[in-house]
Amino acid sequence: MRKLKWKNLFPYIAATLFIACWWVLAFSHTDSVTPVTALRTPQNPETKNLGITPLHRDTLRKALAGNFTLMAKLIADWDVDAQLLEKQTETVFKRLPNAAYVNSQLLVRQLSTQSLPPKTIVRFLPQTYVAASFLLALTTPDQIVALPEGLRKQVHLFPKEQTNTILLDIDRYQGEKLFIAHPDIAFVSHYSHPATLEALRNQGIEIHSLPSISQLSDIYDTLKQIGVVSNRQAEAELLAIFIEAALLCIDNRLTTLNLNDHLPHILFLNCHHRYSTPTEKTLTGQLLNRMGLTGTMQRSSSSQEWTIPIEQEELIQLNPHCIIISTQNIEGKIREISTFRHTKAYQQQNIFFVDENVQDFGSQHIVLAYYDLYNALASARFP
Amino acid sequence: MNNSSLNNTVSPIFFYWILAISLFLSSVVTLVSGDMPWTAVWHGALDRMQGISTQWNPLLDERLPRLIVILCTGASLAVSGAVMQALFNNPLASPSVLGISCGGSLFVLILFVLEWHHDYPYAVPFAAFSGCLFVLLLIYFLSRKNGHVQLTNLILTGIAISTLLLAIQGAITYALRDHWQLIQTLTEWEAGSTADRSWRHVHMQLPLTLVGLLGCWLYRREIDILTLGEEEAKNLGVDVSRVRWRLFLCVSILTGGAIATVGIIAFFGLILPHLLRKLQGPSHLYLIPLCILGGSAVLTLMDVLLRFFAIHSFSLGNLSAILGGIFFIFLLMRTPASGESSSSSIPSR
Amino acid sequence: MLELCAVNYSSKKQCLIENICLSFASGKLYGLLGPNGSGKTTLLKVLAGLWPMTSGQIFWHGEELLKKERKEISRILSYVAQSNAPSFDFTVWQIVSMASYCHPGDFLKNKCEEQIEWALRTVDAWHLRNKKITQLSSGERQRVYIARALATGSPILLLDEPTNSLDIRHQLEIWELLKTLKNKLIIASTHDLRAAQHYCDDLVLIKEGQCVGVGVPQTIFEGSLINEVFSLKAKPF
Repeated sequence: MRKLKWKNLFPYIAATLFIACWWVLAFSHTDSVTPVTALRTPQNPETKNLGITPLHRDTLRKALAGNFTLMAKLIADWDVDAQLLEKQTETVFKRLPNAAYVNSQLLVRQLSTQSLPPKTIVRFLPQTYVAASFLLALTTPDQIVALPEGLRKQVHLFPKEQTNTILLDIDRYQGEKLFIAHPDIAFVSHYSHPATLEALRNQGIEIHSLPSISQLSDIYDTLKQIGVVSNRQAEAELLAIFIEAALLCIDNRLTTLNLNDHLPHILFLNCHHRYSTPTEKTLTGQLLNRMGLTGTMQRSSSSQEWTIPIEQEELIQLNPHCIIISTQNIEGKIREISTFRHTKAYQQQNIFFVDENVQDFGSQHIVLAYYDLYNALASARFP
Repeated sequence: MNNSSLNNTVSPIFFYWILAISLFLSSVVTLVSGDMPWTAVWHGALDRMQGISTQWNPLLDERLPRLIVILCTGASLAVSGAVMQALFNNPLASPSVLGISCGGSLFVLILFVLEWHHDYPYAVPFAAFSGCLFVLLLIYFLSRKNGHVQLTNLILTGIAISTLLLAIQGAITYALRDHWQLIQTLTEWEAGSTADRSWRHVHMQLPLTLVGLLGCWLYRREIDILTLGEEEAKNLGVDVSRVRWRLFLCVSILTGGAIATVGIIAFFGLILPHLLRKLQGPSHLYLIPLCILGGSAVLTLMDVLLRFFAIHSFSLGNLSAILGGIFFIFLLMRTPASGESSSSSIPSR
Repeated sequence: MLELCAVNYSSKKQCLIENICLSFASGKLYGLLGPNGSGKTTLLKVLAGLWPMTSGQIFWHGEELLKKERKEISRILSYVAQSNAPSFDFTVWQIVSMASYCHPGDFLKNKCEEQIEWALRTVDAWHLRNKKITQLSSGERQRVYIARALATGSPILLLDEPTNSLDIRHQLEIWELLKTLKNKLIIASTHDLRAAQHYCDDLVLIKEGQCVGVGVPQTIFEGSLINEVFSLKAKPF
């Protein structure tokens, strides 16, 4: 047994003390960070003064979940709002084409009076989040065999009362249970597991492959396809009209902010391990383009990249007036606000967080994604 | 010592100069290039240093700490690779053989999964270092038999632990495959990046690097002797178990510090010291400083090239792993089938 | 005087060295003889402290040898292995200069280079000093390792078959050299019975891990012990 000698321990003690002292001295003072307020509810004075209907996120969410009566009401309200705005401001505001507007009202009446042909009971197996999201809006839960497990956790979009009635999860290890549930139609995508596709075919389940969602028109096409396959064309058409109407409504609200008069610099950031900006390949990038704000800072990319990493130096160089950060963990990201303390956005308290799950969903919730962007800008204070 | 007997083919001075010039130029480019114009940056830096201004300055607050982190990481990985190759008597060994890197990586993965890195941002370097050290201790105690550690046991235990840790990592990633944001975060971290390094990262890594490099340097003679094997080293007077333990600790510190601040950078622990040894010779009196210089220079150069060409699809870790893989295959193809003992052992990453 | 008292070494499977009690005097050349697997190499490695003995004691001038610090042990005895395949391209000079590690710093300043040169010249390896060890033949490597053992200046040399890779000329030279090192205690295991008979002062016979005989060569070879140890039917020569 070797006796521990002082000289044997000395190197360890010396090294540990050196490192510990260095860290204590380096990190003993902490930056006092004043957390910037997170997303605020919009209180746009122009809205109230203009007499248009208030726009609430929760209302939109309820409508998007399949409340067709609410959809039609909102479409009607927004059409009136657009007319009011045009009359008061003498500016052209966006409205649904008349045919679409009339069609929406007709569809809701048909749906409410059940004047449409009765539906045959068909059971669906959505393999993707987008398919599940649309089916939850268009059909009843008893027609959906299973849901992707991660979708259940997004309770802010899909209430538990709705998803708990669907007992099974989409899981390769639950293949037999899914088969016993007798789904008739499966909605898959190009990235679905090949073995799963083959198993579904072997089980005699009809497979419909949905396109990948890379732009707004893909959302409409997917919705239409699901509507046709599920024999819910009326519902799908109404939902599609509602999505368009909602986006137009938000466009109009953005116009009332008159942001182009201020020319604020707005920067949208994604954050995983590091910050990046979305390009036009992403839905968020397209929404930012749609806003039509000349001050929106979009870094162009000649390649096929979806996001472009941005370093702190470039961010500070851009010095935006407003920063919108898309993240899943808003609480955690608030603590990292000090990264932006040298920007105008920080000094003017114009840093906002939006839900990343909503931003990248690619279903009818693109409306909520656009709403979140609008909400941030409406809450911002520009000089 | 007879210095004239130390060189192999080309004078080492030549390589020192090449690496030193490369390091100098890369460092200058790192400090000078950026999105803000240099004159504004320089004046801002001067104002800061004179106390006139407290505004954020890219040179002092981002480029300089990033350069220091890159230098520390390159030096750490190269030296720890050289030491591991000597300790294992295998010119193609690296810290990954013992699963040290896997340990650090796994601990950081768990940290990300628990989302503690939001609340405690300094937990990442702590986790990396702790993981490296934990795995090292685990392997050491598992491979002890009758109070002694045999090298064969150590290597086999290291491979087993490494495999287990990678399996655990894979299982966690698979279980959380629905959390695509987490998967994206992990992918970005594992790829290795030097972006947005601040003085916080410098303070986390620099003391670890200094201690680790000093430890390796102080034991340079012992490292030379250990290349002859444990028995020979004992025969020549080296307290093998103590020296080996201390060198393992140094390697763990160096590797943990690098993983914590930059992520996983392959290539350096394996190929760079091997190449430098071919150029300079195996004496660690010269090899360690050359690894410090070479590791720093090569990593800085790679970072500059990635930034210059604005290659967003590749990270530093990806690039080094690809280059390392190509060099590794090239070396294997050049090695004779038998006779030359430097390649007789099974090479490992 | 090097004394072994009841030295035992066992691996998991069997006892390789059993209850060996021997005394070795300084200034003598001892030959360690025995058939393959008798435990010669094991005994030398246990003596050198490379393998931990299961029980027993080893004394050098009355002090327990293996309880000293490793560097001090290396200053007292040097071991030359039977074979050693290096993995790194050190030069011969660098390999031999590693002998100075166990010595304090002043040794490096004052005597190191002279000692190394003397050692290399003694084994006729001076012309190889700048060559890489991996480029040498096994015989040349053997001479280099013997030179390193000489360069340590240790009073005890343990040589495990020092001449098995050498040509006849170098074999004789090495045996002649060992014979001239009167200030050292040398224990050399060998299969070369003629050389052992001619050059060694005393012989130690090992069989199945036990010492079965110690004596001058004349006594050993005239008796029947050598036949029993090597299972010979006739006298070896």
